[in-house]
Amino acid sequence: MGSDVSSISTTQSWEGRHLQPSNDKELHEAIGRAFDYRGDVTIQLKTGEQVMGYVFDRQDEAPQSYVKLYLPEGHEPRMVLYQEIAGIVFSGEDTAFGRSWEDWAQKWKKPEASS
Amino acid sequence: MAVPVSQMYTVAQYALSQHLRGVKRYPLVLMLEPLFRCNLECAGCGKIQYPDHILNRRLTPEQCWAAADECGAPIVSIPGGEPLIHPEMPAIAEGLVKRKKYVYLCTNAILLERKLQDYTPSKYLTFSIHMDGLKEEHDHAVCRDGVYDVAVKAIKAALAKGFRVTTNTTLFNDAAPARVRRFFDEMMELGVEGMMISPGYSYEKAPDQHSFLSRDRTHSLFVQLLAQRKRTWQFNQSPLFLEFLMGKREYECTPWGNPTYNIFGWQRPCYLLQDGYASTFRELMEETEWERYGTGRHEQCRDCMVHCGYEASAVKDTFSSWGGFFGTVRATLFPNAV
Repeated sequence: MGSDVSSISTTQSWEGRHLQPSNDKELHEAIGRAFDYRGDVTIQLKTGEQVMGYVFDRQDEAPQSYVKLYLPEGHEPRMVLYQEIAGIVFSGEDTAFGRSWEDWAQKWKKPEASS
Repeated sequence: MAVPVSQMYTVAQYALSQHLRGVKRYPLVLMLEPLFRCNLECAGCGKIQYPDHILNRRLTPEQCWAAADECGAPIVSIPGGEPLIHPEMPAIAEGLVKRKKYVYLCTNAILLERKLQDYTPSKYLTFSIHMDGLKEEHDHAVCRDGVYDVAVKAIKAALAKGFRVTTNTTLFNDAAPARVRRFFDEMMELGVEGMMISPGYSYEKAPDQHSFLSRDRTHSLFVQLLAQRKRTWQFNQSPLFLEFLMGKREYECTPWGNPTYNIFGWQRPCYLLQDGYASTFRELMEETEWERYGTGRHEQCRDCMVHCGYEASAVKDTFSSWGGFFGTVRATLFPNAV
């Protein structure tokens, strides 16, 4: 795989990473990461086509496993089969990263909670 | 009385009829999320962290009404995002009221006073105001100074116009019982119909992983909050659920009790976890592997005691056993009895 899924801690962002799974297990892990990611991803298809959007659904136990994305310009979701996927780039901004409670608490002194 | 008799009767009739018909799984509250866009950015909230093109999407009124019809639950809760941002929210609410759904329109109240003129008071429509504590705690929780004062002003304005108003409060691990009890006093003095409280729990992708409560801590906190509770405090929720929060009862999660519909479809399995989507309510109910979820069955459900999973369990208990029924009567009339 282009980047080892397990080597990135939860305190790091996936933004900018590029995963190229080389087997089924890695493909499922990469899609799981894309499903959890709070930003757009670019899915590289084996045909050479690139599909960029937000992955909101994935079904990895169906007879034909698939992901569903909303594309920025589309009204209806686009479905992509697992078997069509060659790689995934975490191309959009990670909208969850850097917005933790700890970040906020550092900016604002908490009120005294006594009495 | 915190909840109007007509609403209690409707819910009781609905739950009893489901029970008598032998329906194993039925929804009680539809969680309708017409948009994720919000005018606040609370650090503990994972609902708003999406790319702009997702935040710009909204359910149409027709989609909202169809979801309510398809689901059939007697109560519709409209969280978000901030529902009052949705330009067609008055029409959505009106359509739901026309269907005789008890609507809880959840709002941070920043826009409420300005928008009140777009709504008509009704026993079916309640503004449920997000209030996470006294001024200091609330402004801190929503990451913006001054929001508490705006909300209080809006509550007074809504009450003056004859609207039903409740509060909804999420409590995190830094909650100070004495101050929360003072907050209850303050809300009831404002004249709200009742309060809803729930322990905060980590959304799958919520960034604030450290502020959520463990089960033991939840029990301890809610005992301190609700033991020797004042007669003036009214809670707009099942008394058995409150006992569950205090550790007096054990329930299993009922994730189908509060099904969630949003721009992605019907969310599996519940309001908090996002494990995929179903296209129809029927598909959600029939094809979700419910046995995979709940405390002891799913890692992410471990410490969850949130109302969207357990209040329906408490209501089911009330209407499916004499013990539950008499327990509800006792907890309603004598909340401080051991």
